[in-house]
Amino acid sequence: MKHGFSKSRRGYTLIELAVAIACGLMAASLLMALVNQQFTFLRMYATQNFLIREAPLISTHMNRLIGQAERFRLHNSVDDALDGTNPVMTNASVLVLNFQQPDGTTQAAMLAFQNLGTGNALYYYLVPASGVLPAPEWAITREASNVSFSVVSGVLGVTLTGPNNEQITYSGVMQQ
Amino acid sequence: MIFRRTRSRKAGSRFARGSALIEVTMALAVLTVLGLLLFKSSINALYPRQWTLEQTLSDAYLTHEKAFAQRIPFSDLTGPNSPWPAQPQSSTLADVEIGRIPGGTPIYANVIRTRIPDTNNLAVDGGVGTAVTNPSAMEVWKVQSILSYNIGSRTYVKSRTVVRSQ
Repeated sequence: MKHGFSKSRRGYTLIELAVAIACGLMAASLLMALVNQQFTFLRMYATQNFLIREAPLISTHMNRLIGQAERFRLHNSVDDALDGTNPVMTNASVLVLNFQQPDGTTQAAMLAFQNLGTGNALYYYLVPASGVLPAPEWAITREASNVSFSVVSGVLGVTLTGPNNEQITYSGVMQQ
Repeated sequence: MIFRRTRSRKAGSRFARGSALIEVTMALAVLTVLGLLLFKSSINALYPRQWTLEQTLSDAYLTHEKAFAQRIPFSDLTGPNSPWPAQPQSSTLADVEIGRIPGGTPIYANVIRTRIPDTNNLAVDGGVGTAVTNPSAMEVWKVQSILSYNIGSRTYVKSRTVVRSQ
């Protein structure tokens, strides 16, 4: 039994198939490159977030706190800070701030970069007169990979290290 | 369907043999153009953020200059080894690291420090005031730090000024 279109149904030549495969591969690789480019862009965009968005926010909070402090002290641990022992001048992870209250009393607060089981974060504590540290009032940031305080020439510096090794230092002085 | 055969033999067929190759070429061209456009839009989105990033770092460094100018003892500020020499003199700190961008690459800037006397300072303090206009010999200085840094081929300059008096 013969069909009129049987001749037109012969297979493709090797060259045709090779060209077809090459075209398909080119289109696929171009698409892959496009997708990869977009992922790279998003990754670069995200890595800038700490310095552009998070660090200025942290700075605003810290400026308000430090600017109102009557005095401050640096320590390497929360225990040292609570005991008032072993104060340091550089690379401290704990900053103790003293605020003068309207009634003449002093309120102590503490900024501590520590891991409370949920990853590193910079916590803010209000220190009661009893000296027993309660749960932190709030976490100023959870994105920083390191926060260190130092005092040079009477200027308090806070160095923030981000998740991608970016680093920024804010400085301030107490109220004068 | 890469190679259109079945219709190619009919008279007046829309598709000539091999027309699919043209379509594929066009598709590749469209993809290439799309890729270039997306790349350009990515650059357009990232460039201002790079600018913002350097602004953030330079602003942060200037908080140090401002705090130091506020904190330094007045005698040191006006002394012979002052970090802020009186105009027309100035001191330059070259290649100061103002921070690090993602990846840990340090960013450098130049800092120029100087202090400007108030016009009512006494002559010995750089002003034109007299015992009549400034009977208490008040000394007022504008302490200025100027930060300059480069982004690409452009140079950006910003400053902070603190007024100190005694």
